Amino acid sequence: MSSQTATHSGERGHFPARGLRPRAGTDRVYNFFLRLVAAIFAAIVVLFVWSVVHQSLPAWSRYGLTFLTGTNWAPADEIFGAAPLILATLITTGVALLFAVPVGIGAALTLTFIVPPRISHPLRSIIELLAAVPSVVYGLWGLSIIVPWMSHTVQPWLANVTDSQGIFSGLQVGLGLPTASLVLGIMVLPTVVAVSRDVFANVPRDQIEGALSLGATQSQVLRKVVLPHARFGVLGAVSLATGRALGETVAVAMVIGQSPAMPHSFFSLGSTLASTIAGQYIDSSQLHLAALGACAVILMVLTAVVNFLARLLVRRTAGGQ
Amino acid sequence: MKKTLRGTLGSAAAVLGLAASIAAPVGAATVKVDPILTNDTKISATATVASAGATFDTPFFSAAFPVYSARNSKATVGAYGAGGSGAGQAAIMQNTVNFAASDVPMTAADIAAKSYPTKGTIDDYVQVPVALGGVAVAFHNSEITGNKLYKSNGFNVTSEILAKIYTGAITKWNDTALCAANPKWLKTVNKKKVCALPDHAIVVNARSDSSGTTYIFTDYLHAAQPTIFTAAAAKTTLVTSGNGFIGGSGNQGVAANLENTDYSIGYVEYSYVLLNKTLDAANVVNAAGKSVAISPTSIAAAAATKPTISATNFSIVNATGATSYPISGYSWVMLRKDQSNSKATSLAEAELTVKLVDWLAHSAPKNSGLTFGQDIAAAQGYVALPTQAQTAARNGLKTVTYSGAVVLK
Amino acid sequence: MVERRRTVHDIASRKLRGRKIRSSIYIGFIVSAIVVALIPLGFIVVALLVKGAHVISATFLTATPVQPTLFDQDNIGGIGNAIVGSLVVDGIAALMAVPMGVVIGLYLSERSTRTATILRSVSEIMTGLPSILFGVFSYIYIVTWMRGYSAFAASVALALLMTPVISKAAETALRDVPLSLKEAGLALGARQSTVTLKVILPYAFPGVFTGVLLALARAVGETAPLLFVIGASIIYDWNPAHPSTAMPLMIFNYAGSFYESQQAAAWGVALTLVVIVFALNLAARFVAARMRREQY
Repeated sequence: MSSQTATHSGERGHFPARGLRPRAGTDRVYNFFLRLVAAIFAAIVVLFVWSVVHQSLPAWSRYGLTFLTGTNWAPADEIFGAAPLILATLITTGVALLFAVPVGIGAALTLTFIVPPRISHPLRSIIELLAAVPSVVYGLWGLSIIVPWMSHTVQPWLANVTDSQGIFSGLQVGLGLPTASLVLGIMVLPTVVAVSRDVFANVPRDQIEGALSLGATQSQVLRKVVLPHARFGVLGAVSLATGRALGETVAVAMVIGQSPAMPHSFFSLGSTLASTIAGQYIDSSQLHLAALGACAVILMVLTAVVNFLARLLVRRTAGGQ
Repeated sequence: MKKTLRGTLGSAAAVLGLAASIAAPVGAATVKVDPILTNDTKISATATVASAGATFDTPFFSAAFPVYSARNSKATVGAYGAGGSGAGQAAIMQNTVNFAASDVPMTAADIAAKSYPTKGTIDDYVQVPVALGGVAVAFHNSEITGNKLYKSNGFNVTSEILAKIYTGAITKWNDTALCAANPKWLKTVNKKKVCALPDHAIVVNARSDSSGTTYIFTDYLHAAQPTIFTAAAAKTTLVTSGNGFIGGSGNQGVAANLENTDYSIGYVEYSYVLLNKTLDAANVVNAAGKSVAISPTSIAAAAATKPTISATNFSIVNATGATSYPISGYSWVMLRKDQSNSKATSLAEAELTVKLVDWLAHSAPKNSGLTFGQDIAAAQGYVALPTQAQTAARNGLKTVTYSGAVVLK
Repeated sequence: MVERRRTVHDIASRKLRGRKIRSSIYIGFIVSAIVVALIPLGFIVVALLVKGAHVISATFLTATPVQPTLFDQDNIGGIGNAIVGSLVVDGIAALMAVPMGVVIGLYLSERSTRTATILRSVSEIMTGLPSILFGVFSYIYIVTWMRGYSAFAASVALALLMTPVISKAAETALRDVPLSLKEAGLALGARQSTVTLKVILPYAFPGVFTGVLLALARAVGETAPLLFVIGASIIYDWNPAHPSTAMPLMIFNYAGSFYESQQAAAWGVALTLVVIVFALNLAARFVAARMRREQY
């Protein structure tokens, strides 16, 4: 994430160098070399996609689409239905975003428009650094601090308040979907802040000043000028965070309970697509490996689509300026 | 409970004196040391060995290899690749390791399932026992362990209870079956017998990864309760969508989950309950109907009921005998019978492989001041192999040859 | 901003007090977001320092791990081999990813063909794929081919992760090279390759270097792609064909250990790793900032 920040925040592209091809063909070896490396990279990407798809084929041919809809993941009986994994992936990502998006956008607005630079600048740097903290560290923190806090404080309190009714029934083990969602939310928060701050910083000054001079309050400026102008960019930031949350592996594996149950309560344990691959890949039978390969394919498609949308949205904002 | 377990181990600790023994073979003059093992580190040239396999053996091998390396400047014992039994089997079939470890001996079917050109047949391998261990039924229930009834009586489970818990038929701590196994908890209230065990759901823990511990545990459940636990022994995870078990990665994962979760039950390798302050091991009622605590003695007793083990007849779960702990099992090392057709590229490498495994599978003679593999295993919470198993390992290793000549002389 | 606010307030008539209050509430909400954001993030940093700092010592950073025993639970040795492992794995990954990434960056910056557009999109999507997928790829090809776990297999997975990050940074930096410089070189009769090597790459070097540092910072903290390709090792081992270990993997393993000494050590490894990651990031910023100063 910080790579984007570092490379985009400079005044970019003041030399319209796109498509520069001076005297193409004058240097055959050079051009051949460039093409060769590009072709090698393309081949590796194709090989990469193919390897995962190929590994998953036995699972698709055996289970077909019931692999996606089946609600039972029972490796010992060679029954593989990925619905609980897909659901856990979507739920943890969704809840994480519910936390990270409003907080992240609010923080980004604050950093860009409200606090003076001598405060916002160091804060921004800190948050961007936190985006670089390895996910296993978030997992360690979740496992040794959040999990005990959840099981000893939050969950008993929730059960007490709600009298263990409805979605607040069930075991209070600290691990599970809410803990994983919280850790994920905190993890992707710096991403949301950093990317949307860059987007906000690109909102044209004259529009903001124009609105202010017409008597708009600060909040009106933010709501009526800044947010509409930055909406695609913010959506892009959200999509990037979504992609990261969908595919996060170790931090989730450490706190989710690694139990592929269908989510039924607020305290449910779960296992996401990525955490299941991480937990079960070693020392598995052929069909089990194929099923995990199929999970990898689903994950690949999900994240590729989300990322593609993200790039599209970010580019659209950039193009609109 | 815990005190007695620790006490049993204490004596093993006294014998050990691990670090000191590496440096000085004290008093060796008065004790007759096995002639082969006296030469255990004598190899003809410098050599390096590689190994991989079951995570069950990781603490043992991680502690033992540096000790062995320190005994001999010619020998380099590479780190153990703990990738699981299946990975170990694949590695030995492909000749990428000198020996591999597995919780379950390799079978002809395992070899048939693979397509490696170097795999050979089951007769091309020697498989010897290298560790003996037990699977503890660990539980975390502060309400039970905090009660004085527990201090005096412990907590008992039967194979039927375990099989029912792991098939979802028993879901609460105050199930009548649990009270029947722990009759002291039956209280008479208003002239009615009431089960005073906690009225709380049981949080069931299992391994989320493929595991030899799961193999031994399911082997036991199926052997003791074939009609309730119908699935045959397997390493595959018991955690499924339907049963809501908590999955832990590795023994340590399960132990950590148990530690964090009150009212939970699970199964972990024996050593994992020794250290853990919040985990307690339940006594298991064995085939003779006696309630037995897990300990080196009771595991050894189970092993003693079946003196002759082989790679095709190795299961010691649900052992007979009043003092046998019923959830015990061996871990195995496999190597190539003909070392000329192995990873070994020199006689020294073959010698090192065989002698290292031989050393791993033996205890040092009493009062010799030496430390052999099985002494280190005991310090890691395994149980030293019974003498007969040590002999069986030696006999197996004596069939290993290099260029037609027997390696272990 | 401060002056501007005053202007607004001057212009706004007193009748608009209600509007101003509503605005303040809204702004209050927004400002509270940054507090909410900083609390958990602050907790992590504090936990790292409090739990990690006292673990770290010279021995911890240089010794190899010792398996604790029941009788000596506190002796866990150090993480020297994991630091070496990380160095080997990430170094080899960089050796593969940097040339590849830079050349692809060159290709993308020089061409605007359909192929280039597709390649750019593919490469950008690659940066967002879950890293565990690269581990699966490396397992299927490298682990099977090398018949065993190795540091090299981990390097391949990480190289796949780093290449698109580097190519993106390289492309951006190369595009920023003034057209006049390229044209001047070509006008003097230099070959395209000469201009690239002698003019364009040196000019864009700081930008490319920043990208490399950031890619390294990301790779050094990755755990998921290593899980089933690197194996295990407890000794110093510089041979990339051997099984190895790395710092993030050590955190993952120690975090769930039942030895309290290892759980505590996990924080020490985490702090060490975070310091390295931050150092790489700060170095990248430093280079980027200098570059900006020099160019403008």
